[in-house]
Amino acid sequence: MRVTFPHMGNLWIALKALFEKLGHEVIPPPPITRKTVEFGVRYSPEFACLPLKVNVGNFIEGLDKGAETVVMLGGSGPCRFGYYAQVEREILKDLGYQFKIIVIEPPMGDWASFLHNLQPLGNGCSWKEIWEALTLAWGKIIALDKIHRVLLKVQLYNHRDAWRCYEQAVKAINVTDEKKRLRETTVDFLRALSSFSKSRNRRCQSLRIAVVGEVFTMWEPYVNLNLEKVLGGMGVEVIRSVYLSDWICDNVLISPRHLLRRIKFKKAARPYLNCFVGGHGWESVGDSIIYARNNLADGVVHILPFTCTPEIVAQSILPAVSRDYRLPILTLSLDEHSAQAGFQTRIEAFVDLIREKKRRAVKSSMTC
Amino acid sequence: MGIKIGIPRALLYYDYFLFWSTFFEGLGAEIILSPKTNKEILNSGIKAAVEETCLPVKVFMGHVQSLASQKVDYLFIPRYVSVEPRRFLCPKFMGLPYMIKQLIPGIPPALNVDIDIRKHKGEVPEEMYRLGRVFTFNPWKIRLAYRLALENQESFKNRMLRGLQPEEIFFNRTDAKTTRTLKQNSTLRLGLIGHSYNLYDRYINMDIITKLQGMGAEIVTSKMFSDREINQGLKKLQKDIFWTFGKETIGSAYYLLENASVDGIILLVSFACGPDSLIMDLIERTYKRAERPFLTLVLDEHSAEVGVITRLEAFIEMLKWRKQKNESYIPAHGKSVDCPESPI
Repeated sequence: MRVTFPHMGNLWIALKALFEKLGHEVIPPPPITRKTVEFGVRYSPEFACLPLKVNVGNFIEGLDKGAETVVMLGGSGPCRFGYYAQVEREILKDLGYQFKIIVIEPPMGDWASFLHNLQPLGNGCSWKEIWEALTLAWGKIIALDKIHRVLLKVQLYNHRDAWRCYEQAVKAINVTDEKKRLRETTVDFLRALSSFSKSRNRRCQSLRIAVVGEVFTMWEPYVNLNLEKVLGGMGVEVIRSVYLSDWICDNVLISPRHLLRRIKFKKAARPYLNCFVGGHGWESVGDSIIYARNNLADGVVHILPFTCTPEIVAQSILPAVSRDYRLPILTLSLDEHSAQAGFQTRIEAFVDLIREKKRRAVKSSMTC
Repeated sequence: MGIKIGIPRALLYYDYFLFWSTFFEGLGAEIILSPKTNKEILNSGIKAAVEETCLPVKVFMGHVQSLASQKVDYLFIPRYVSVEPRRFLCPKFMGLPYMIKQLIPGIPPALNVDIDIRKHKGEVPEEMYRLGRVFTFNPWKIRLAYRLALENQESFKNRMLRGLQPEEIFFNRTDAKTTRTLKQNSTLRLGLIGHSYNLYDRYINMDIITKLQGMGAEIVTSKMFSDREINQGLKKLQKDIFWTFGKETIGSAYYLLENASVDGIILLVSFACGPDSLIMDLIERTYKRAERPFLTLVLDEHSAEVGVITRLEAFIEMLKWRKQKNESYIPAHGKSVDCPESPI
């Protein structure tokens, strides 16, 4: 089977490893470009959220490159994402593509049909081979997240070299297909990246800004106009609130550490929002409060695709959090019309504002 | 007089008002409704809400503000999560009380109740007792009020199926211009598909039902289909839909597609409605494939009445023409079906 899938940050590396190990030919869609988004916008419903449009663009480009099977994730609501695959299938059908779509739906207790649905992906591999493939993909996700976390810490010391090193790391992780090699590569790059923080050639009073919000826009640099890189270039230490590995731990593996994290943010968010609203709306509110309360961040950037329903709930509540905790929050709503220049201006103004606020706080604490 | 409860005339008011009014009146409370949606209400709602919010939620916020200025003891803002198994309402409904609390300061205390079928066990849900305790400590009274409310809700549903409009049922008033009286002289039958708060709020939909009836069309709304009919429509879907309103919309649209009892359908959606952005697209695609006429009207606070009238008139003209000539190839959606070279 020639398989393709949608892009979301570095997810393609893990999926490529997974499907290649299972013996499929993988055709990752070309990196997201203006053309991808244009394809998506042309054929998708008018006020669907941006991730759907980008997905459609990815599928079109992937199928044009010769893929014949599309793998997509499903869901059980209430976020629209759970119904994406159904709409995308109809869009591609109307465009005249001949393809098969495999939608990975949450099992909801019905494991038999869950496995039956995934059978074609298994490609007749033994359980052991499947386990090997899954663990390799999982290892890559963890490695990439670890490296990215360090990158966000050190990029403000040597922006250009740190990013160059990160890009090399991504390339190197993409080509390794052995768990042992993967571990070694990760350690090497982690060491290389951490060395940047030792060679401080820039004395700066470091600001910390956390990014919360909808995960696709948070993880996909083309869509968020390189938010993290832009912030780093301004000498800001960025904290990404949710990583892909966290998402998997929260929703698939349900690890105890993440359960604890979930309890924490739910408790923090209680006075403001005490219920699940789909997507990451609850997390956005809870995490922002935790960052403010524990003094982990000087400001929060809340990022969402235009018309994202769960995040609009969060967006309505965040001003109150900002007021009560004196935490600067910038909400960025992204769609296909977002432009770099306007974006840059808003972020610069936001960073300046926080820097000034912090400077004054330091000054006043010194005088009294 | 008893405790005064303010109920905003927006969102799920059009579906559940009879239930809540029966329940509260059974407990001896007095109900104060906000006035019908008007420009002032809409504007105050727009001011309060985050700009990306959909129109119905903005309207709701306007109604909350208009009630706040009246003397009410409580505002009733229920939190609807799920009213049937495995289906949700919209994420915005889930966060609605919290959004209101933060966006509109200085309003009377809100009576909150969680409507979540997944948590409801037993004959009378625990949440109803919790809500009822504000008024009375007599559990039997709460139980009785709840039973009566359920009965009324059931009869409300049945009367909706017969084509009455919610407000006619709520206030036992039959306007001269109800759907049934116009049946004889109507030449066209149209399906009007959408959420109840878009279909029946005459201000935000610019009184579309009366307008269409005036143009000589008989209207079937998506609220006039029984569960059986909707489920029949849903069979066309590969994946069960997890929104209750989405189910009604797509189920009734697909049912009408198979049972060709209407000449065309009109989809009424509000801009930035999450579920509808996808559902609308699915319906449009299916209707295009079947070469059946449909019209999508997207409502937002900028919708102008004249523009809507023009579009409705054009649609109706097209349908009449199509019907008279008994020709199915007259384009229903912009692209001529028979002649691919057509400039349209």
